[in-house]
Amino acid sequence: MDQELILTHLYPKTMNTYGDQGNVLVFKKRAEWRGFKIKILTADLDEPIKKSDFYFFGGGQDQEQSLVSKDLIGLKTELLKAEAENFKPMLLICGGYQLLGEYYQTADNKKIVGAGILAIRTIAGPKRMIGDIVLNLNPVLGISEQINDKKITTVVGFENHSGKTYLDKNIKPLGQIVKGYGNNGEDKTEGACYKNIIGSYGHGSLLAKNPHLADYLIKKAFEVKTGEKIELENLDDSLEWQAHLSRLNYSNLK
Amino acid sequence: MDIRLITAIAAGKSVKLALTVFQSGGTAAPGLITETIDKNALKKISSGFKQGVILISGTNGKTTTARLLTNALTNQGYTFLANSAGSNLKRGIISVLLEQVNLTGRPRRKIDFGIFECDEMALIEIAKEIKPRLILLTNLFRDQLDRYGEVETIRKKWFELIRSLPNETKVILNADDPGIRSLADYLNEKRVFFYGIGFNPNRQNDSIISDFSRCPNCGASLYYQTEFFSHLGDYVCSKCGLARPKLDLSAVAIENEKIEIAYCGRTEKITTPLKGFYNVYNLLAAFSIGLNLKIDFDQIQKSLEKFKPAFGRQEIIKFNSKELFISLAKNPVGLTETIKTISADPGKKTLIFLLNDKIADGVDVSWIWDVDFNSIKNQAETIIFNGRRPYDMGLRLKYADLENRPRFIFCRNLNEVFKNLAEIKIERVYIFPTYTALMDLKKFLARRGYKKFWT
Repeated sequence: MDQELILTHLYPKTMNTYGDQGNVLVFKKRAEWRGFKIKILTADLDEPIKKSDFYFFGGGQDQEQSLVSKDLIGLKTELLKAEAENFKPMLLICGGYQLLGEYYQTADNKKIVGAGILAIRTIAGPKRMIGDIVLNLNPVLGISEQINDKKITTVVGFENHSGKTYLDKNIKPLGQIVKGYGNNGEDKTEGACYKNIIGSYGHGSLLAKNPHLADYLIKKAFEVKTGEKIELENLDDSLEWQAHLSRLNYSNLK
Repeated sequence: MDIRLITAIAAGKSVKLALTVFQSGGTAAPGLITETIDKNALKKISSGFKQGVILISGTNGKTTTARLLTNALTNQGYTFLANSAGSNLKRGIISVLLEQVNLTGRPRRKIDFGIFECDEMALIEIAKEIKPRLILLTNLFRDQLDRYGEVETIRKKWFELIRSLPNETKVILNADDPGIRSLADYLNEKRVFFYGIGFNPNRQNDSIISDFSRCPNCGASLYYQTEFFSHLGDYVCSKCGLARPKLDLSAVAIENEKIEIAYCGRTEKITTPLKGFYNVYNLLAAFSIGLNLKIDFDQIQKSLEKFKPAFGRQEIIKFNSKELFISLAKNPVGLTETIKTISADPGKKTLIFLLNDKIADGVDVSWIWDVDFNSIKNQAETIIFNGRRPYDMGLRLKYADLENRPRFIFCRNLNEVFKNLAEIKIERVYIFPTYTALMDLKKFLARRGYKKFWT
């Protein structure tokens, strides 16, 4: 397959605190193993965003979020909004997830404006929510994986945030929390999905131990680009699933 | 007579005795008891040191710097107490002191210095309590974000801390780290001593991980004239003008094992006992402290050239016909630099990763995705995994773009690791344990008769 997919890593220098760049690597390698060509673009502060087939936006420190917010509002927001409406897949983690929402209200009551692509709001909470997370994927995504005799619909990750995110009624959570805090530690939801955008608090890097999620995004990137349906070739994911299952085990969820 | 202190010390000592009798580990427990009974115990005990206390903190280089320093002090005939064998939290330091003081908290012999390496967060309480004579901060990189939240949080706390210390406390800072350098703002110049690298070593710094790509003062972008690694370099802020200051002590040339150091108008060539670019910083740090304690440059040089590394800090030991290179892996910048250092050794390599996720290691292992393995891309032949998170590390290396598909071996315990090693022909083996995995490895090797060197 000679298809080239263009991946844009948003704010890789400014928002890169928790090892999230691994998601870019996992997306790239898994696509390349299927014969795709991957071109990686980056768009940081004061750099333009080019139209792409997949966007990744990771987490960063609070201090950086207001810089990114200022940079993002305007033409960049317009472009990303149009891309989102055109079903372009995006993976947003932690700070990136919060910034494509409506706003982030800081501890001193300032509002950092987001791109408003996701109907979510984030409010700084009094305590940091840190630890392993396990969620059951929202069935609307239709993602599941048969591993041996077990149907897997879980996602595993590690959260580290103090912002509490609340979803509007018309936006769906990525999944239901089985372990951890998730969006806000109150309503048992974790992350969000809208069209082909996935937002989550899961670090890890998230896609590494969740190959079903990685492949879902690769598939969407191809299908939206070409307008054709595709079944991705199976890979030997035994190590990925061993890592995934060992986290379920650790949380006594096997 | 300080009854509270005596009670606290007696309790700590009994716990220590009990632990020894039952041969249990837990170096921090006696200190914790003592601290709980008398929260000023550390201050009271260390007030008995003739020449004061020196505190060393920062993400990387604490242990090696402290060790280089104590080496130089010994050479000068000074006596000291250091927490090199213990934990770097307050309770760990107290535990170490308990062994050396009598019930009233007086040292059993004359002690000139306390040399304490401190955890980044623990430093704040320790420094406020004991008012050190000198404090040295090495660098600030992302490390254990699950415990600290963010790098910026620590920097802000340190900024306040330094301002709360008395004017007599000398502050030694790594000038090449903008986060560390920014701590000196508005401080009396006489209190601060800067060290750094004063020439362009032409290192490729293609890593995107940087914890201060923006100015720590105003948030504008930093312009780098020279980059060393991560965010260390010769920088200037495009907006507020924060720049690398004039260096009081600097490395001005590096050629293999020879480092040229400039200080007060003179330059000296010294032979370094430690490999790796980051160790230049550790040498500079130890020199800076030594010089500020008025030890002669030549004397420091003499002692450093005879230096032996600490256990698990690039130490090479012989074990069962293998040569083990052991280097603590605890954060992305440290591991990336170590990997770069070993890539200079020729030939195919056997690597062992021991990744744990206990509190002392950092319970979040996401950091491994920020490590750059590019420098050993075509050198890895066999990679062995053990620790509590072997599959996470395996995945990281599976996606690392290594050439010729190295063989991956996952082991359930260290026994299995060494069984596998026995079947590998290459003599030199590189082991990268996280902190608690290093402790386990130390115990494992000791049980099998390897006792030399470590304290």
